[in-house]
Amino acid sequence: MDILNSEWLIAMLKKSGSTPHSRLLHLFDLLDDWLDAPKMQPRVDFKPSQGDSPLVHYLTLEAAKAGAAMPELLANQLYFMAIAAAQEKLHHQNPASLSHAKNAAKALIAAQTKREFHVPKKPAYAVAASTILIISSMIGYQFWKYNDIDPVAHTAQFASDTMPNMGPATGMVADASHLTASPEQTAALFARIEQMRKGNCQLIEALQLPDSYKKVYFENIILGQISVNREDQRLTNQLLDMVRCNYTPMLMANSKN
Amino acid sequence: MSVLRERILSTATDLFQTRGINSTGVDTIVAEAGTTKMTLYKYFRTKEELILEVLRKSQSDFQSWLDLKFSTSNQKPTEKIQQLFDFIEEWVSSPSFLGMGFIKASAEFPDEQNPIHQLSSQQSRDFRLYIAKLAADANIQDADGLALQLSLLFEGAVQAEQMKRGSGAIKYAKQAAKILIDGARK
Repeated sequence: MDILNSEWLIAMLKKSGSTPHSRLLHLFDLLDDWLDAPKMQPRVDFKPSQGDSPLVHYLTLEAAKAGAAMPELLANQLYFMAIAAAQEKLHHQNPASLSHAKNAAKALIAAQTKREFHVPKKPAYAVAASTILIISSMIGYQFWKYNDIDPVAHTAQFASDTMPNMGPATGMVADASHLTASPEQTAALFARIEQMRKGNCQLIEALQLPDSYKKVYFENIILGQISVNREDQRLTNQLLDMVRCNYTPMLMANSKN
Repeated sequence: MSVLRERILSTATDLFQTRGINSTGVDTIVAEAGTTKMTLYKYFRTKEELILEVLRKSQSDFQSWLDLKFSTSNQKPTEKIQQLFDFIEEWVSSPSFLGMGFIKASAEFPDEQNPIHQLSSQQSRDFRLYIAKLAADANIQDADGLALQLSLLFEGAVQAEQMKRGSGAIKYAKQAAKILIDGARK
């Protein structure tokens, strides 16, 4: 019986807490309770799934919502830790193994979700540059949106050539417009954008983006109007990967200079 | 130890780590080592015996490497437990890292009665005891509890790294280890 990837476990996790952080940690409580329950079920093995694991998929979404720097990696590490701790309890009669695993998981989640503290050499200039960039981006967007012309059409092809793994852009959004993202995907994207807003971010050169990316970029990232279209969300996530953020609080950064 | 036996062990270690233990046949090992089945069976009576010896040697090599690193460092005993994760990060980041023998073996041989599973399980517990000793040297009260937490972190990170090289798993495990060690000192 593969309890780890059962619908039951994932359903229990979904209603186990009010925050992604608590739902990630409840994995260890649920397994602990389950192993303590009177054994009505057949013999159970806790071992990593050979193919795609529904539990890892679920944990990845929750890790993204919790603001993890690398959600899939965090999900995999938590998954392996849960398996090892369950085996320890089951085969070596260590009653506290899942409780210790939960402590280790808390620390790992903290490591993946903590703010990065880098002191910029010229924080004031960095803030000014970001502000100017955002304002100029918004002006550019208004110009592009209402005049229905592309002021930098000659740069679009160049930008398209220089962006890795962007795939064919033309027509992609329109073709996939009937596909709607799941609430979990939308929430994960919302969490990423919220996280970005907490930092001092160097946004990408929006005017050099291909036309098909501009609308998605301005509406989702600049204005925060997150689309429920799955393809739009995929593009938004790709664009967010290109945004570099510094999360040093300004007072702290200035006090160190 | 004979040169030929050493070569068979080294070849089998590499093949088990890169292709998996169950997926690597004796024919492949002898072909890669440039020897014959008869020679292999002269040194190892069965494939199971070869696997057990590979596990023992891998663990012994790793432990010797760690001991050497600690013997050449000037850290106080109380700082060695944190330094352990610096060394582990160095080991996992090296190009020659192929994974941890006992972690792979435990996954491939889940039957508790299997001697390979039993040895890999024992090696996992031995490594935890090693961490517990470092924790006790650092005057940490619940040394066994911290050792279990750190070993779960370590094994989870190595498994993630085995899935995808350069995953960054050990970097986060090291940061988490620091949080746990600092918390246990209070």
